[in-house]
Amino acid sequence: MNDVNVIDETMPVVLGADNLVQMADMAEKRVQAIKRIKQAALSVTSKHDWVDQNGKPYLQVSGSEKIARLFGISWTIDEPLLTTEEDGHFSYTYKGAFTIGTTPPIDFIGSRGSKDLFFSKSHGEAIPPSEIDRNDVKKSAYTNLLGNGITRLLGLRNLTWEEVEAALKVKKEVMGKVEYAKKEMSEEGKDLRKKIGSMILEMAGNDKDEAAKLLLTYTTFVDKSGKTVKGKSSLADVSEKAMPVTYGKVEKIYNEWKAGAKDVGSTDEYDEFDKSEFNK
Amino acid sequence: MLEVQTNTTNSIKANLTSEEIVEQIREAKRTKIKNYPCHVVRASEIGHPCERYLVYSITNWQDKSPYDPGLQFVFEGGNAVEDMAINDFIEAGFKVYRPEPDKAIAESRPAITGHIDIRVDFGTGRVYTGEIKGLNKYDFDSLNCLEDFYNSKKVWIRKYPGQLMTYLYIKGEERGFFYLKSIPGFQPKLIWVDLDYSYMESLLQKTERIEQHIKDKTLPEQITDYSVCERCNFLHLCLPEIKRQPMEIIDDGELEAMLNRWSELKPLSQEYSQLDKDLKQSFKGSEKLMIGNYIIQGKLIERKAYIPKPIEASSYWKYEINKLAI
Repeated sequence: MNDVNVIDETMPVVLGADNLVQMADMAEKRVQAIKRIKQAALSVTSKHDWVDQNGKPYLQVSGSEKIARLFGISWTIDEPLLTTEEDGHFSYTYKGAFTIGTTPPIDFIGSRGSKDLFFSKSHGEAIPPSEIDRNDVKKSAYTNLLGNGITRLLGLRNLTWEEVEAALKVKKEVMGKVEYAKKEMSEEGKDLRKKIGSMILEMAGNDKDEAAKLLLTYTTFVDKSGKTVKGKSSLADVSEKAMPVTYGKVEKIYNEWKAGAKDVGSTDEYDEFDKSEFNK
Repeated sequence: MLEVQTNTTNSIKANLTSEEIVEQIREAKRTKIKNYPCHVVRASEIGHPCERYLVYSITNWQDKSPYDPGLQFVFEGGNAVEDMAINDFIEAGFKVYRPEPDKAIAESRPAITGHIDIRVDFGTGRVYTGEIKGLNKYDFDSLNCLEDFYNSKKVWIRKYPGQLMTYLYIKGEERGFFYLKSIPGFQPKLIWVDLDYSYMESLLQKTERIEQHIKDKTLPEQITDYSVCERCNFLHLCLPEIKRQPMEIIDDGELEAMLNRWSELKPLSQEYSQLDKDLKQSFKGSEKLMIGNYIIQGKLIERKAYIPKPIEASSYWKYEINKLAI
């Protein structure tokens, strides 16, 4: 009898049919398990636990806690780490080890900083870091850790509104909403912004990266206490209130630049820029 | 038409959606949520099961997580209920005293602060201190004596006896009362409370320990009851280790098949029970009946009287089965 080697070209050569079936079974079981975990988790939450965050469902810590209770998730959390930047902005980072039963603990972090739009903007206006409540940021970092640890441990990230709506049998419209909406800038503000953009871009030789650096330089200043306050590298981050001041400063520099002056600007940072960029 | 709007600081936009109007209302509540300095233990808190929480409440009051605006509505509802309750006593003709900040409380040692809701003379010339609480229907129905407060699963209800007894102790009175009102429904219930000296002694010792911790800048040990911790506003400072029993995931085809069959039969079982009840109600009093292909025979059964045996205290597992929507 002649042995005929029949090669099935639809099958990976390293695997036999049995292995493939086993793998497919395992994959199927895995998919089913993930589905079941998702559904079980969703079933213990209510509409009050979800908010619409810029179009995506976001599970609040109240919901994460319910899920943690259902699955029996345990954790230990270290003391938070406070990081302070030169411009006065700060952030808190919590690290925690999360586990279910005898599975080895997995480390997750939760972090929130004063630059987060939730803290740093109010009605479209920038709030200086000195006016942001450190405790609010700290508590937020803690709840961020719980949310991260619990949902990531169970693979519950990136749920869609369709999945949440189907499980809770409610429409997303009845759930809370969080939007980091910026207040619409006035026509005057927009006009100044446009003019600043044109002047800076011209001085930067139409190089956008260079223009961003220039803007950062021009908007950096030394406050009354002698501390350097880092500026903005995008005009979108300059508030309406700060727009006329920025315009005045940039216009002065622009006019001097146009007039061919070399020694322009008033801050140390600008002088530094002047030496490094103009005197090449 | 009389304009009753008083807050004119915010310009009100026209054509707001219902969600935007509600959000503006919630935002207004949010602005009322503030942490206030706390220098001594509050009577309303002294019954809290965690001494570490009580120390944090004084040393780190500013770090307390703000509660949800939803709870602000509840608190304001509670204040409204308090006014309604006081009116109940006045309408009934009892002599009511609404105490001003009390000198005895201010001078109490160890220092415990608080504010008595009401003092009432029920016509005997003796004035009783009362604590008013607005409660949901379930809690209202389940609280009928002091033991029910101690045994409640809800931490805030377990704190109520400590609050009232502290007032009684400071005022030097042996007896006071809880006046409960249901929400909704606003029905009244009055529960007399006698000062329990041994419980009060434990609260005073607890207050002294808290004072000592504050003086020494130390913290009491963490508790291990996470049902208390998970509602704590100092969780982000305390960082207790959370140990939970994991969910068991069982791969048992036979049990799963039984559950599937259970799930299929459940609606039929409910329908059967209802039909059985309705049919037997229709036949009541008839001995013999023929309806279509059915013969129904009835018999009057005499039920013998019996004295039920008291049920001994025991524990049992109660299960709820829910099918996942997959």
